[in-house]
Amino acid sequence: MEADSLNSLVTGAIWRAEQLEAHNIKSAPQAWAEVSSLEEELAKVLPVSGPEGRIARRGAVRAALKAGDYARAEAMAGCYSAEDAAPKSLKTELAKILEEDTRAMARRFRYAARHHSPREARDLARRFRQAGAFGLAA
Amino acid sequence: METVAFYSYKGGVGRSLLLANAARFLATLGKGVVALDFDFEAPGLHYKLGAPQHSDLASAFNGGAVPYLNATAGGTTAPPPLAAHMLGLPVPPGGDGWLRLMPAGPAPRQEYWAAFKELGERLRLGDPSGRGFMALLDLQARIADELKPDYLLIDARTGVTELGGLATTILADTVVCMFAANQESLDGTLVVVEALKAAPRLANQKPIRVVPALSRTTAKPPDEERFAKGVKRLLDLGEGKKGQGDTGSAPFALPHDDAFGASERVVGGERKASAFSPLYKAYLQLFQTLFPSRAQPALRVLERLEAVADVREGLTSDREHYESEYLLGPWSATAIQEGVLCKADSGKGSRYADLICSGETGPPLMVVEYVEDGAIDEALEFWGKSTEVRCVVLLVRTSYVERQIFTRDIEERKLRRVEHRWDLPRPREFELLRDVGDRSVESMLDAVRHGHIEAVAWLVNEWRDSSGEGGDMHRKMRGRGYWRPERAQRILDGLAATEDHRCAEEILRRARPGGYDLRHRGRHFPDDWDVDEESEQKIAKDLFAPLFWRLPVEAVLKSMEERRYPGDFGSLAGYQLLAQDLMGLSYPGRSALEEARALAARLPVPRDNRDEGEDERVLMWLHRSRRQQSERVRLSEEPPPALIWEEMLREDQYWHGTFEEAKEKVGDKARKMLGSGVGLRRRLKEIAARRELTTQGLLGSYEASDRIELYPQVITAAAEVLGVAPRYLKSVVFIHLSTWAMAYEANDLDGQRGYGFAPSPRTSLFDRESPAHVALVQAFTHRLIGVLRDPNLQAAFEELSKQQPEPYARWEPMRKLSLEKLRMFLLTARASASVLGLPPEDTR
Repeated sequence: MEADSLNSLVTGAIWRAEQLEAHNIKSAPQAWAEVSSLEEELAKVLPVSGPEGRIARRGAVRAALKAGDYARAEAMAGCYSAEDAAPKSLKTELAKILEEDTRAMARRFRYAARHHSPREARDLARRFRQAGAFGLAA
Repeated sequence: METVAFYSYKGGVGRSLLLANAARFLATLGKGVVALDFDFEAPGLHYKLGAPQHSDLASAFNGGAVPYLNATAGGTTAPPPLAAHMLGLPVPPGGDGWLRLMPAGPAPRQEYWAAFKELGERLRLGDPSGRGFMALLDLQARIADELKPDYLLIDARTGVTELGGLATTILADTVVCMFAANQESLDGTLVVVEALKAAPRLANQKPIRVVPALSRTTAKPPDEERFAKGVKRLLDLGEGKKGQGDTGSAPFALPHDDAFGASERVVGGERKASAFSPLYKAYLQLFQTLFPSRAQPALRVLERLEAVADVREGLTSDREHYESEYLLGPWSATAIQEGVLCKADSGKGSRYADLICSGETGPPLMVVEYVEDGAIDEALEFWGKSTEVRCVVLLVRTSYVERQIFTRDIEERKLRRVEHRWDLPRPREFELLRDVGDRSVESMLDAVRHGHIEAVAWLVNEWRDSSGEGGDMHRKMRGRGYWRPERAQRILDGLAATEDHRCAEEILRRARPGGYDLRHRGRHFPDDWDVDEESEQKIAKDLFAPLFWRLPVEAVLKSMEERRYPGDFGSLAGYQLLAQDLMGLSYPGRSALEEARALAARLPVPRDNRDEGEDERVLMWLHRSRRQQSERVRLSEEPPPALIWEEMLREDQYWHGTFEEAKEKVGDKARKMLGSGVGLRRRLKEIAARRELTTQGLLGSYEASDRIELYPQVITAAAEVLGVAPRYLKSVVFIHLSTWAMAYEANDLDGQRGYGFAPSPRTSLFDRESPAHVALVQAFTHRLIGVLRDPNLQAAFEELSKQQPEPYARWEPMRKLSLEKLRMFLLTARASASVLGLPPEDTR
């Protein structure tokens, strides 16, 4: 698919996701997941060296986080940062986005954040996802 | 805050019940506790904890863990107030902590299940963003920060679930893993415990602590060896009860308890003895390990409950060594209140009593309080000065629990320690005794004097103990210095002084050889409390026989009537003392059954009864002999023969008819005189003035028909004339006539009865007893009274003999004769008729 077509699809998807989120509609995360997928597709066709390509990459990670899919966001950020032509500024921005999300989580779970690091919780959650309850499936 | 999760691989092991008990226990000991129900699929902790808002859960309450997590699962900067999702619960009386419950939600209402469904979508525990984890950690942290409890107790979901896994691996500091005594439950638990121990923890968390607990330990596992290996592995991973089993450790075992477990009653923190049960005891032992900082209080609660429960059981139990204790009766359960905060009578101050025992009405009689060593004076000060309780029992905790009993007299304020006593006063004792701590002989005799027959059995037992009689055990006691003859004599004299006929009957019943109490005791203690014949004979001689002659005649006659079963008849010990020990004769104590058998065998079978078997004939004779026995001594309302003659001669001084004719003529007049106290006394005064106050014929009579009759109206009037107590005069008359009966009926060495001693038939005015016979009977009467050592009987005897014909006074010169000499005279007098060829024994 061409970049123009994808751009128009992304624009519509973003508008839709923002509207859903603004009206507190349950399917907003799915809408953001859709945005993230479209941005990811766009990133595939746009080189990282160009500003549009960098915007698409940042957008894909942000939308994944908005969709609540931290794992995907983290995976994509890692992938984009590892690209050969990725400028340092993109790496910094992607790290900032993830960091900002962690900070946002700490704000949303302020009691827990006083005692535990959200990052640690994420690590445990990942292991839990792999090994199941009590780690018995590992 | 310490978080303890309660987990079980399989359901139905009492997990929630244990949590509820732990929560109440900790709250009672001053701790702040939050209980959290994470068993979302089957919530019910609020039922176990008896939340007062229980009904609200079905209507107004919409809070709980599920609604809260729904609101916070995605994270929020404005979480809902925690209070709206919690319920405050009451703490047992005396507790100074607090207890809050966060139920799962308003289960079992539909709203709950809808919210629970929504939570499944929101709380994505498997989401690597960690929000699900954070939501749970946030709830835990918020509880810790805002409520600041000492303990958070989590009811984790049974089996292997995401939430159960997180509640145990991430939230908990300690996990109690409950399992049942079967392989399935153990194997599953073992897998989970191994996983728990290997599970990753957050940076600031300590390694997880696991405490396995074996629940409902009634059933034996099918493969014990395999099961034991599994348990050992479990203990290697977790903490068990120290110093138990071969390995030095054993799992905490929570026994099955029908009454407690079935009702799912939560007793944690209860200080009432009735709450104490094997399961509660096991809980308290578990809590000592589970909550190390509360181990000492848990131990103290356990000791207190054990001590108070032991006392309570003793108070309500009727299994005692002596029937006397049984008679005093145990306390009824309704008479005992537990865990009462007592206010001082003055209204100032209050004190906690573990048990309060009350009578049917009125103020409390006895309190039982568990006190620490050092608080005794304070307790006594309160109970002594601020209340009117008559007995205070302090269970004093030193290195063991010592029972100290304090009592006071009804009118005194000061409580006195009762030494050497372990058993607690029984309810009847508060009626019997002014001071329940004073179980002295005098105090008990005072109770008997006031008509309390329950004290009789106690006194008789005391006599047995003090006299060293009553079986081997008593002989051993005698050797150890328990032999107190002076005390035994005091008891005997006190019992003999009993005026109340009902008590006197009871005394004879209890003192009877082979009496009920000894049999009762022998049944319970067959080895120690054997009843041997020699001892029984001594009891018969030293206790029953003296009482038989000294107690009111009415009671004695009643005791002779007593029949409980074939072959049972009143003891002949009294007669044997007289006949054998004094008169040198033999009066065999054959049982009624033996006598009936002898008669049935000897007599020809009546024609009508030929078809009957021997047993029927024995029964017939038994029935007949019993009837005769009960009529052999009686109190007669009829005028005595001497009074009939007296009246007859007043009417016609030349009368020469028979006694029957005289009776017909003046009988009514004599009867009328009996009814008139003044007239009778006047007449007796005249008779006394002539020294004709005869025992035989006027005060009583012994007829050749083997019957002794006493004339109580005449005796009472005569006692007034003589200035002695009627009851003692009656006894003197009874002894005199019984002596006569023995002289006539008892056997000598040849098995011959004393036909020569037959009383005069008194068919005419000139029939009189032989002066020699009268003198001999009086001499033996005096000897018996001397043996009895009863000054009242002695006085009555002497006063009477002063107003009697000359032969009655001959006992005095005969006092100097030896007993052998007297016996020789008696044998001569008895033999005089038989040598004349009077009829042999069997034709009477």
